[in-house]
Amino acid sequence: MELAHPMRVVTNSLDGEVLTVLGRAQAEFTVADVQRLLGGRSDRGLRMSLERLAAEGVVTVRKAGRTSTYALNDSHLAAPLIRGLADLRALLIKRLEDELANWSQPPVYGALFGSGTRSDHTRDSDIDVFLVRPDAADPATWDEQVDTLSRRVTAWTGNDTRVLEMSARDVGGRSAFEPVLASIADEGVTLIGDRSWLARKIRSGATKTTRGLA
Amino acid sequence: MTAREKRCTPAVRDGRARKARQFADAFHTIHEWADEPGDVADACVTLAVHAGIAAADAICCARLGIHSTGDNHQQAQALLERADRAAKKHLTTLLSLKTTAGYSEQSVTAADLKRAERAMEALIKAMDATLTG
Repeated sequence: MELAHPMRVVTNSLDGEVLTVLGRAQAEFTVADVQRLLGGRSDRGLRMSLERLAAEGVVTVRKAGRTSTYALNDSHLAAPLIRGLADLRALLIKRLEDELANWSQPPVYGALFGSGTRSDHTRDSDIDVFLVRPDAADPATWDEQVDTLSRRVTAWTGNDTRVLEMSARDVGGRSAFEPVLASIADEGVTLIGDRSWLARKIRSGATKTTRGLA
Repeated sequence: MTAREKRCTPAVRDGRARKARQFADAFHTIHEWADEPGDVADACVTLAVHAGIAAADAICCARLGIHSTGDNHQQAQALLERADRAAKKHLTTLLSLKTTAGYSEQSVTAADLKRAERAMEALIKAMDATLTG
């Protein structure tokens, strides 16, 4: 699946993109509003899509003067399903959080990172998960947990899962200039633990490195 | 769109998200380094309020294409409710603590500090679940 375009699991059409916008809010949108959120779509194409969905009954139209506003019709049988599809990324994050919280040896910190946090995630992209292993973790138990997680995430999404793991000691010992750690601290979506812990570990690593260079 | 709402560009959305995380990090840093958490409770709650407002703006930008401007709390909450109904109560919690923490002679309580931290974390989480840069 494409995390930034979850509706594409069922349709690659403009209707799907429009339903994603309407399904992610409890609000009315003009054609211009939808156009601004989707970017690069023609006014005419969006209007036709919205009118088609209105004719289907899944979108409501309200006319105010010369302007029409559109919203998802929450009374429609399909509305909860559309809202669920529109927010699949949030569901993935919730499942990952629940999974990690139930580990017998939970990570010190875990985050979703890489293209999964950006709009360029495609169906061929990996799902990147960062895990910090407790220093005292039993290796066999830990490896089994990680392997199970990888298989489950791939089954949930259809994407390959890549787990980047390191020990808590390693995180503190690595340079803040290591781009992936800095990127996780800046843009990663925390799944377990405290993001400020990671930021502090990186800063302390940077201090050690700077002292070492002096 | 009303006069107290502003259209978002991706730069506005990402900038507000960055500030939300920065305020939240500052909250945790100050809280952790204080000898007594109560000594820094007002500062921490004020940081939590700023983190929550910035996160709410980022969520509204991503889901509605607009965010709230100005000091009208009711309008900011109503806009967030249109973007993410579940997140609204957390912003309400934070805004209810804003005046005591930042502008009055009284201090917030330990329970207020805990409530503010929980509300801030919930809004950051909702923001993270929403944004795809």
